Amino acid sequence: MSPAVILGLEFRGFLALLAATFAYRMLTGRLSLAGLFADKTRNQPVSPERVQLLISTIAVSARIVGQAAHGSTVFPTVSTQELVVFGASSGVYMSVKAAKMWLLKTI
Amino acid sequence: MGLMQTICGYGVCLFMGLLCATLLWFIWTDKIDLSKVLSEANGSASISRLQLLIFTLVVAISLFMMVETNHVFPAIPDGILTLLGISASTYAVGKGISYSRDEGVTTPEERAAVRNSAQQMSNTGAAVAADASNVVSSGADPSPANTNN
Repeated sequence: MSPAVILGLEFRGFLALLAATFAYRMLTGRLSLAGLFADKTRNQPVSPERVQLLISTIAVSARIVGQAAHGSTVFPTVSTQELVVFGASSGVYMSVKAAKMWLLKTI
Repeated sequence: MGLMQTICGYGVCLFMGLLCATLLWFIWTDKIDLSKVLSEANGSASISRLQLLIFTLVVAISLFMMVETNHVFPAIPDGILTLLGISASTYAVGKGISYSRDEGVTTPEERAAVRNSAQQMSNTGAAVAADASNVVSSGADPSPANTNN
């Protein structure tokens, strides 16, 4: 077995075990995800801007991984439209967060 | 030359294998503590941290798959770099916004404890100052016994 094959297997195993460790710890609560969607300033359990940011993140990530796994010879690209959508999503999240903090200051 | 190359190749394999195993062992035994990797300073999970973690893993895994398939390190497109830049900027700006207020860096329990301590001291009539790190102090005792000269 050549060194390149062994290295490939090692990295594959490492990434799989690392991902499994993250998943296991998230499921068992040792990697805390409590309050991930919560609006802490208003004590509400779900905040829409957080949900939309996670959805856009997962959508873009899934497309990149899917393109890479498809056996392409070039690194996956992200179109300008996707970048605009993702930038807008991040902008909305930050704007709402800043606005909530600013309102908290003025109250 | 060929023998030397083979020995070096297996040496690299051994080193990387031991490195990966050590890292995983340290993570499993909590010598590398990942319990707060997604947490903000106030204890709750951070969506911007999770986003940055997802994109970092996605780009790393994609790079690994490309290199394994083609045996060539691929050029990273500008779009991917922009995406990582947006994600990192979101994290940095979010952190700045959080740290602009005590509510972003202290837990509700810590703030309640400070309020309770301040209320208790206020009930005694002392001048009270409290901050988010639960440090409560009162003004100097104005009684004549403590005044020199």
